[in-house]
Amino acid sequence: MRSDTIKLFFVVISVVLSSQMAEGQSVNFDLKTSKNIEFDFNTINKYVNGIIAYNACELNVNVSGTQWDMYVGATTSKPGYWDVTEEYSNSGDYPPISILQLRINNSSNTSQVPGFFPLTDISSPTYLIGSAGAPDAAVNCPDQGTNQPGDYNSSPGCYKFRVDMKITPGLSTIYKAGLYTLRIDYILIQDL
Amino acid sequence: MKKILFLSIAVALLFGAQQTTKAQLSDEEYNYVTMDLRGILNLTMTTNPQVDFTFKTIQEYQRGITKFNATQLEVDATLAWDLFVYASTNNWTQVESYSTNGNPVLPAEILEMQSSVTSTATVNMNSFTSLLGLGHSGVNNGMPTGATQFLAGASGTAAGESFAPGTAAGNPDTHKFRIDMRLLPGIPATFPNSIETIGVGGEDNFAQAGYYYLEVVYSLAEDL
Repeated sequence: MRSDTIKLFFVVISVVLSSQMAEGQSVNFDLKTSKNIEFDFNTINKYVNGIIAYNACELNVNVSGTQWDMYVGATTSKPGYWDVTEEYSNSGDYPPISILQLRINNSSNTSQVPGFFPLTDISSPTYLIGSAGAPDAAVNCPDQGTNQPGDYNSSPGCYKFRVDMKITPGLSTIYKAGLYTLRIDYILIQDL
Repeated sequence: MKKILFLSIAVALLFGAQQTTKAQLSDEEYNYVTMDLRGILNLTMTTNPQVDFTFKTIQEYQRGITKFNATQLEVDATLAWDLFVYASTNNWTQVESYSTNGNPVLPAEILEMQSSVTSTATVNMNSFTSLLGLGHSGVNNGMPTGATQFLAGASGTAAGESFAPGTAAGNPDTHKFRIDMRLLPGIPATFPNSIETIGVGGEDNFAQAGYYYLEVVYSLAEDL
């Protein structure tokens, strides 16, 4: 009877410990700023050559105790198109969100999409780390697709992402002149 | 022993419940992006805006003076556009007269112009034709009508009634205009090619010798 009690005690302790380990998991973006980015196309040159906003945003990843995924997409009222704040013209097409291109990477190039890519709706996001399936194979820093726990302070090369944005309207498609907005969602999520 | 079994099951259930209630951890960051697409229409005159015609010989009166490429215009646009032209007045403005003979009122239409770019508008300048004065141009408060002379596009917004966005550098055939100008006074100086005659109503039907000017307006507008 005594030995059974001891066994039970160890079982309870191990459960408590495992519970505490699970609570030690965290998945965070630190130092969030939720910046507003403005693209003002007021010259022909800007239409033709585009505007690039370098370091428009920084994503500081801080993950402990778990593997993670990161993806990005846009949220708008009409999926796939910018929200219209004001129209300056009656003619032309409404611009798709894909004319906004993103480049999200760090100094170790761990992003799975290293160059500029067109923004998509959040319902079909672009995975920068990991995939929609789970669990992904473990990838350690500094390899491409690093998804192991870590933080931007100790390993900025793998966990500090810079976001560049580019829009090149061009003149081949007539977009309706106006003021447009959208929200970009960056999602950091446990790879379960 | 039974108690231990119950306790073990209870612990297992507790552990299981703890696992199932644990949500997938996540965090989000956002950017709010604003894009201001301004409608841009740039009309640039790359030549001297003043074009002088000086008639000082009989031959010049008889044969006229033609100034090829007198004015060159370039259009850069982000919108569908029209380009039309008209004189800002009905008649030339006489600055100085050299004689008391003849008529000082010269209609704007004595100036002939032609454009290097073909226009599909009904009233155009595809070949030498009289520039329409303000009253005949149909332009009202700066807005064109079907009677207006279009160098590009036409009145209305239907297909083919506008030119597409683009730059002059990238589309020289459609976005660069070379305008030729001609004045043919004749002797006497009745300007026979003009669609408006001088001296209607019994006045002198030939031009008074003098110094005159006329303002030509080139207007680039969104296809409305």
